[in-house]
Amino acid sequence: MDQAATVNLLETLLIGMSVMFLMALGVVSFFLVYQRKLGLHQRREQEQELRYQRELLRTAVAAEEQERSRIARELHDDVGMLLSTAKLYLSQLRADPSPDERTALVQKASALLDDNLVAVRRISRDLRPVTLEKFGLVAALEDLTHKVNEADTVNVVFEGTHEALPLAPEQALALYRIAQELISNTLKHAEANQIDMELQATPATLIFRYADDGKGLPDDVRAAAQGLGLKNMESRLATVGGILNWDEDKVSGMALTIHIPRS
Amino acid sequence: MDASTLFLYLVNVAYGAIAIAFIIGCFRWRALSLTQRLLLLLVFVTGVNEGISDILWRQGGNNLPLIHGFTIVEFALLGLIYRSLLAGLIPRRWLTITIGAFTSFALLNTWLWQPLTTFNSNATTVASLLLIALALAYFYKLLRDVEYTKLERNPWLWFNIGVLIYYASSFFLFTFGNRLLVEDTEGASMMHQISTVLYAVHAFFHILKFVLYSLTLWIKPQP
Repeated sequence: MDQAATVNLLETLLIGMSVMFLMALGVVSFFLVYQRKLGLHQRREQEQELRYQRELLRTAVAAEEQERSRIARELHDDVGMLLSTAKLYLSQLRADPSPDERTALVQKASALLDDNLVAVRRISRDLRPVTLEKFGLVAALEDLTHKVNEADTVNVVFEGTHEALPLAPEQALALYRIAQELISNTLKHAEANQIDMELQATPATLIFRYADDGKGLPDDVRAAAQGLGLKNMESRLATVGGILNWDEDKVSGMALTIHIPRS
Repeated sequence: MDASTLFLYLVNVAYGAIAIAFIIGCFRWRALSLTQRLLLLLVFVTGVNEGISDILWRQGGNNLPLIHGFTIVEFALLGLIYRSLLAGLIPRRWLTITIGAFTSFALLNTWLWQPLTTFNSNATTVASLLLIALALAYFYKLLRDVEYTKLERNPWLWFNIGVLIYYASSFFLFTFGNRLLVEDTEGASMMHQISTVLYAVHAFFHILKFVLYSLTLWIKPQP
């Protein structure tokens, strides 16, 4: 081999080795940078998920506190007041009133105690709907529909298939509370005329659809699930492994679908 | 410092790098996973091979026959390591077949085309190509498994970097290796100097590879 060929070989080898080394270094660098980015992205997602879970927990606690306050208020203002008045009437019996007065006092006290019983039943029903416990979710939603329609501010239509398979009590209660929350939101904020609710049950999933023809929810409110009511719904859903999907295609009003796996 | 001195210096450092990797491996023997033990075996075999080659070279003998055998053993061990690392991406059977096919090719190459007294550039080139492909496959697998892990705590990342850089950088040297072993020609003296420089560069990558192997043996694999 002459010197020219030797130099040529040297050049080929040096260039070849350098190029291959740089390519390998490039691959390693790309991998390390990409993996780091991927790691940062995943960490950010995990932090976001953690924040979301904390927010849900906070919401659940706040909702529970709110409910306790409401019950305490009702017990104090309603039941407490009725019992105090009944006691007052009964204490007047000690003064040895005339037979007519006695009868009137007993009747008044009895009427107050009847009112009291009604109030206690209402509070008890609010805490745990009797229809739901006795007759199931479909009957409870039908009952809810009937009560809202009685107020004559909005027309509620509910279609529900009877559950062929048993539903876990906590799932039924969660869905019932969500329906209550949705109707309450529609009545308070949506200025709607019509509410449509539909409940379908497949062997694996419970599907609940809700729609109204009101003002709809602003995207940012929906995306951030702002407001105690919406967060509370998500919190309830999370406890039973449910998923909430907003209907993005709805032109007016608000629509959503909830899927809850049957357990 | 001339090329020959630099080369000898680097060769000694390379021996040191192999010895350090071996000592780390022995020191951590109980904590090593099965795959890490395979790597330790490779380090040991490399050390023995380098030692015998050096003795033969010093005695003026031809140490090239040793490379023929070492190429097969080295590829088999690296193939077995990658068979474990690439589980879930490449079926284990395929890598077993690849190791068998390469061994057959290397033996056939020695028998038919490049006898024991010549450098087995065909086999080392094919081995390099296959190992580069396996190293890239492992990077792909690490990216595919999106679950975030602290990479620096994965011993096999360092091993893979070592394999990729060493075999990619040495690929041309292995391919044209035979053309550097020229004697009694017009350019023989110059060629000797060139090959010394090139093998010094090769020794540098060899050292880098064993430093990374040492890290692989040092780091405890994540569960």
